[in-house]
Amino acid sequence: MPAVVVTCLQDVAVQVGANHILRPHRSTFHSPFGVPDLDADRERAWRRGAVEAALQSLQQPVDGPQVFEY
Amino acid sequence: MNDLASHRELKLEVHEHPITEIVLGERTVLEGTRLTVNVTDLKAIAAQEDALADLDVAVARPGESVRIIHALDAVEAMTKVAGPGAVYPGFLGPAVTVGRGTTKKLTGMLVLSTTEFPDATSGGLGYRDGIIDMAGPGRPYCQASNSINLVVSYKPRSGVTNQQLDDAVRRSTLRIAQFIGQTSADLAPAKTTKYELTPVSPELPRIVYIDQIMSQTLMTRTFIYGQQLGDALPTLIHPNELMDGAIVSGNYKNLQKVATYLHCNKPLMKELYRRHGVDLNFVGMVVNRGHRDTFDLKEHGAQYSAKLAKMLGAQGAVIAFEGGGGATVDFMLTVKACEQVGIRPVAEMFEHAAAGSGEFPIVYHVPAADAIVSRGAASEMITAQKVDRVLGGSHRLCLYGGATIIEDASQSFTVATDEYWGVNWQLGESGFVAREY
Amino acid sequence: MSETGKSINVLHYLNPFFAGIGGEECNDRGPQVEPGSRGPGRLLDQLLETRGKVVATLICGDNFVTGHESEVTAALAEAVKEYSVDLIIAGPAFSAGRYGLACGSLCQFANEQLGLPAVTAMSMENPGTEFRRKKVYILPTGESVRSMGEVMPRLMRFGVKLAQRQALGSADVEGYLPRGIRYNARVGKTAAERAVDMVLLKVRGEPYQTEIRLEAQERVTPPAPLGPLDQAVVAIVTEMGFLPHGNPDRIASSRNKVWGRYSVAGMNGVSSDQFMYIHGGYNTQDVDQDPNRGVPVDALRDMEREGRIKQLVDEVFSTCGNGGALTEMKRIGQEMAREVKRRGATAVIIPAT
Repeated sequence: MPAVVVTCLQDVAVQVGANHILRPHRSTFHSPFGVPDLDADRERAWRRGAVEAALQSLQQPVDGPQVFEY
Repeated sequence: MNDLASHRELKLEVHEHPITEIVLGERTVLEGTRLTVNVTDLKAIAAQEDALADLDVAVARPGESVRIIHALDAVEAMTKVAGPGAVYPGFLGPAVTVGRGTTKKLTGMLVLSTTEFPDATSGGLGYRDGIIDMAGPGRPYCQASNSINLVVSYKPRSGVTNQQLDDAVRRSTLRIAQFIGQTSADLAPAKTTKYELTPVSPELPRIVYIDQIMSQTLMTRTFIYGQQLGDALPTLIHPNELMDGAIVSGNYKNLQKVATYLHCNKPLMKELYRRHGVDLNFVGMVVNRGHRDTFDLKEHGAQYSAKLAKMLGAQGAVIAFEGGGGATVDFMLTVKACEQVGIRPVAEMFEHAAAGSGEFPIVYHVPAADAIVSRGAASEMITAQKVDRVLGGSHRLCLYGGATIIEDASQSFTVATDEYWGVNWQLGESGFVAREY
Repeated sequence: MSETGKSINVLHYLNPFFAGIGGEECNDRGPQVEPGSRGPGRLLDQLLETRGKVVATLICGDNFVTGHESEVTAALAEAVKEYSVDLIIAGPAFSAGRYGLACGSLCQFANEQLGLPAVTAMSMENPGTEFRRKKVYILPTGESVRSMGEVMPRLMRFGVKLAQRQALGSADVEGYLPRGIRYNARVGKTAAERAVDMVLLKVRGEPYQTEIRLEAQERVTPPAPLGPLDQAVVAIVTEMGFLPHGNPDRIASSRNKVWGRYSVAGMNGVSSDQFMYIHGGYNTQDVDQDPNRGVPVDALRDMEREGRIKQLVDEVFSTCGNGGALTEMKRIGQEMAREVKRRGATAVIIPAT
């Protein structure tokens, strides 16, 4: 089943063999789907974008661990 | 390189006063190798802190049937008798550069602080208890089990916060350590050692020690000249500064922690110093903070550390770290960064996987980490024996971050070696390694 | 079982080429058991001297083993009974890949199903070396069959040690391929001393030996790509320690062994009134404040309402991964995966720290 790991520690995800990995640039290691510095509306919009990116990554065929960036 | 020459000129003379016995008595005095401590003197020191209501004092000797729990820190009893600054600068005096002049140390003993935090700290980066066994199968796995410990157990005043208590215990313990150290002030030392990174033959390989330290939130802090490391960039430091207590621990993440006495006596630092001029040139130290928040920040710290090492002229680096899973990434990126600038790295580390489990031993690695020294595998199950005395406060012990409660720590129980105080570092000191079968 | 002093009954496993029966054309032959030794088994027999004897030889075509493994292992089991076998020696296979795989597989069967010691030998590049991950003892050889005279004595000696239940040292001491199982030992030098020794060797360009070998971890076969998003049934699975206040399943903050599933039915997002995070490996402040920052329920609900995805599975599957033993986490992952599948999910988002 297609599964995407969303994390800032993408190298660890690669090493354990996760095939789809989304690395969000703006969020931190402590909150992969959050950017607390943004105001609530903008953060929510950012989060929507991250989830879209995560699901879209699953539509890409991969040969092995692949890091997608958002 | 010339700009850094003055950094290399720190000269420190360390006087050692070995302690073979500690007793409680009427006056605080050092006679030969016998230290007498007047508990009232220590209470007076603690009384300087509002957060502290009272304290108890006990003595624990290596080999005795004693278990110490609720420990926060173990600190060397020492005092500066010549040269600028004071020991534990930033806490016991202004943040004047130390590592110069003369420092007297009472060796073979430590001041060990214990207390129980008023707010139960769960998960997060909370206080995590650990076991110090002065005898028995657990002894090689814990820090502070090879010294006579003056165990100071603090009682908090009601209503204090964890942070208030933590800060007060630290200040009080450092003051007590200096006070005890001062008993040696007028005495002749048993041994004197001069510490100086003298110029040596240019043929000798130039080796740097990159030390990665843990400093995150309350309960997992480390201080440099009295300031939390926090998000500071990696920095240079001279080993003499560590010997005078420039780095102080407030890290209670049990299995990963480095107690303050161990910061003063970092094994790689001492080994490099011992061999300076013999078969190597110890060019100095870089200190970095691990567990940086994002991958980019980890890379940032790693690259910066390697750059500083290169500025010291290092040809080889020994690198060690304090911390857990995520800090392995900062650590390995530092190994990679060194290789990228032409410094050959050796990584010294513990193994995350349990002994005998067949799991891959470390959580993260880079191809450049082809020279690893192992401190041994985690989580061997041993039987902690029944003991005559439990020191530290209540006998109730929370293990595995709270998942297991031992109601009476004086009894025998089966436990993973991970639950011993500061095990990840102590494994290395005790000569552990893991072999593959 | 054989103890020191009793003669060891050895069963030798060979393919038809090494048994002297024929070449590639025989590789489809099924198993046959011959009494005594064949081919290089004669050398093995000689080397054993009074310690033991090759009582039987099992011969099977390399191709046959693939796809008929149970027939071959059954033949092995029968031969073990018939000849009162104490020890299996397979090969050596050198660089013959299918032969190496067959040797590895039979040794694993002998260890696990028959409780018998077994050892094989092959070259480092032989795919059969993967069986060392299943705890099979494999001795390394060169590529060439001509080194048989060097390999067979090693195989014999090691086999005898196994059969006599002698305590074995670590892989590099005993000369077998390391199997990934690590145990502690104490040595006379501290880690710091050894580290400084090692860095000097490295800087001087001299050979050094790492104490932890690095290898690639296992690979998961990538699944087929996800189809159109509006058909997707999305599940959230996390190790961040997401859970309702009160922690009903008692998820631990470290070295945890349990997982839970928490309903978000009828919720447009997850609120800090109801949910929090417990985890010893990161600062949960930001996600405690707004739990959607860890498990993005609000975004997925919006997408569900808009028809952008078909459905968000009503439960979040959660555990705490901090310091987790790999075997526990694997088990938890498998259990969660079964549940997720059962709920009809076609895509999974795994927020992780």
